[in-house]
Amino acid sequence: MERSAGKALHQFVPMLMPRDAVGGHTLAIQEMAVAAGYDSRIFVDTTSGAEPAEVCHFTSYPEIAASDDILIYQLAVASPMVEMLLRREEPLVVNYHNITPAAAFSNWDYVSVLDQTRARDELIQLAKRASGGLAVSRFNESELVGAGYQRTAVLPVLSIESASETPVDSRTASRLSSLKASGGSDWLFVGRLAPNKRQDLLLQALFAYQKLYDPLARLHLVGRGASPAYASAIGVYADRLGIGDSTDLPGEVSDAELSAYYQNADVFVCLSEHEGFGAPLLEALEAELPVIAYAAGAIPEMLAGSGILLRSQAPVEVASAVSRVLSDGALRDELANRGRSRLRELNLVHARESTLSTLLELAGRK
Amino acid sequence: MALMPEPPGDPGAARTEDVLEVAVAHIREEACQRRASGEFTEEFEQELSAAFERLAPVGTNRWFFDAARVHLDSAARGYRGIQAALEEFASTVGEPPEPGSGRSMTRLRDRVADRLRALTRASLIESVVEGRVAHLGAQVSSFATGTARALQVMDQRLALVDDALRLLGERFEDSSLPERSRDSLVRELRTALEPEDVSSCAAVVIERFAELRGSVLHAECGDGSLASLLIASGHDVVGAEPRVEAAYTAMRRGVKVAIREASEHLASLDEASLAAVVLSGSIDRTGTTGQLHLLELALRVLDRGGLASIVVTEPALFGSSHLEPVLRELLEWNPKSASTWTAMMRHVGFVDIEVIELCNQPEGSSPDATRVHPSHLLVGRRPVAR
Repeated sequence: MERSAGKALHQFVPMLMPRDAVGGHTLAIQEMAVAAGYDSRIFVDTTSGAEPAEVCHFTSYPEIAASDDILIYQLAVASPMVEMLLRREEPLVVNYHNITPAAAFSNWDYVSVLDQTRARDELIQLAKRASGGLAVSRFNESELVGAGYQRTAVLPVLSIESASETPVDSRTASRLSSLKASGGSDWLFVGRLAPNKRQDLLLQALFAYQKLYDPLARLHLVGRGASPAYASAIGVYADRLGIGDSTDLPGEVSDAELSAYYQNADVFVCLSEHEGFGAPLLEALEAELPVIAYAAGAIPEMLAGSGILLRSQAPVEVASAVSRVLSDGALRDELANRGRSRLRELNLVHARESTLSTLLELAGRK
Repeated sequence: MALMPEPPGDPGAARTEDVLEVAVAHIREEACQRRASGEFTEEFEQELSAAFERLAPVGTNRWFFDAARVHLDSAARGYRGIQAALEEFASTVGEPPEPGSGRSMTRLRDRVADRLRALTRASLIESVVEGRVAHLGAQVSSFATGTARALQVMDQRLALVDDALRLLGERFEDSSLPERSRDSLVRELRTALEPEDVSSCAAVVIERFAELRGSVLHAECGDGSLASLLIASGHDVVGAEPRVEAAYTAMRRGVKVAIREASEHLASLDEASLAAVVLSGSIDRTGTTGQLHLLELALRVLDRGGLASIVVTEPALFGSSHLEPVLRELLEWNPKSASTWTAMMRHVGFVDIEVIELCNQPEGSSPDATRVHPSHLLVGRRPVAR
């Protein structure tokens, strides 16, 4: 591997997944760094063959390393590259996307329990090594401070899809439209099928909603299966509840297909028990969907009054919330106005422009 | 340093939040009303959650995971040991630089150390050790998932339906068979799996249970038609029903219902905790071993002198159904005669066994070739004396 002349800002991320918030964020930073004249490469520990950009294995970094390099580690899961980063001496900034608590997986996936526990250990180990930590929410920042990071900053994830700017997949739109024509409302949740995302509670809520309000309602759960046992149980559970035909599990979809889902939905419902940022909620606001969410993790911070926040995940309460939102036009208008305001406040464009300078400042290079 | 903007403090915000807070308050109030009216009780909400938790793999095999963790930790220590040994080796490598050569021992040693690290990272050692660790973890998860699913009797019943439907599809490709509409057979199949109506037994059961004091369990209670009649006659009744739709209907009838299979629910109860048990639904539709197991479980949970009522259908009446014989066989229905049931109950330990013949067609209904109605009620008592 050849080293380019001049300054360098390299990123380390365990895997670079397409259509993944961390992946999109990493690519956005690379784009900004290159535009600012930096040599900027992405190093991974695992390749899938489906990377959306060129990547290198992290073990090759020492071949091109220079003492004035700036290193950014995108931390969301455990990785063997941490051991190498701990031994290096270049300025390091940890960009923290949150680690799901291991307990969320304890009944479903023991490998994930070990991984998440290791990831949290690595977060703490890196605190002594890193010049600073960049969090994507104040909720995450509090975890960085708790782990011992002396210098921290908060900037949102840079990979929020704008529904209005992304073309819509016509085939998906047509299929969803046909379903809608047969009656019933469309609920949407976007997120990996994982125990902390609590798609099981969404199924219970749909069951209750069909019994109490609208037997034709549908639930679209868009996202890849991150925990095989949990994902399998979700399919079985939907059948057990008798709502298998009303539940759409398309798995991972393209940006255009996702755009069709946002466009078709009547409400976005999130009952996650743990979110470090909640990019899909902001995407829902962009799509002017009313958002109903359980108040956990960074969600109250992200919505900041622009959605219906519930203190309970109980199916009857969630069903009642959806019914209220869908039957009250004035409430929906108010939510849409608040959603637009919130997006203006977040000023994602400004955040994007500030990211590079913030990273350099945390690295002690500004 | 925080660059994320705080929520706004403008005057309009307070009014807006009031609107949303009012909405949330109304939502909570409506939810409370729905629960209080019995339309969707809090207990049923909890049962829905419990039904999902039972689909999780780990709960049944915690010990296996603890053992696996020991192996994983040991493998990780072994890997770190190999790493440490290689680091130590790397630190001793290097020839003394020739005088004036400009090469330093440190740079040579570092280069060798880096190379060895690179070698170990990409090497067979790392992939074997870490691969085995990951493989073991995945195997543990898969094993636990497989084991947990094997315990789900309802899944087995539904799997039989899927198998039967697949075979049905294949048979329709055989043109030598009489023509039948696939859709009508599928409907018959699904109908056959619906909870049977056992309310015709109500009068007899109520009469037999009249002197009993204590709780009554109906497993599997179906839509709660019999259980609700028992409640109306003054009994404290709980139902167990694995089909969620039927359990919901039972809940709406005022029956406190656990979303569970009969055997699973009976096994969770304390010994001698019930005055009476009614078994129906699954009792005809499981293997003989399963049937004996249900009877044993029922005997265990009954108070001394408590009564078990078994609602069954004579094999001859299964045969009169218009369902294809192959479907009956595929669904593993296992009806037995009243005399065989009597023998089985006696074998398990019940005494004073009584056989009551039922009118196996509900009053007012016309013969329905797709439904199988119960033909007999057997009542047995747990002995009073040890």
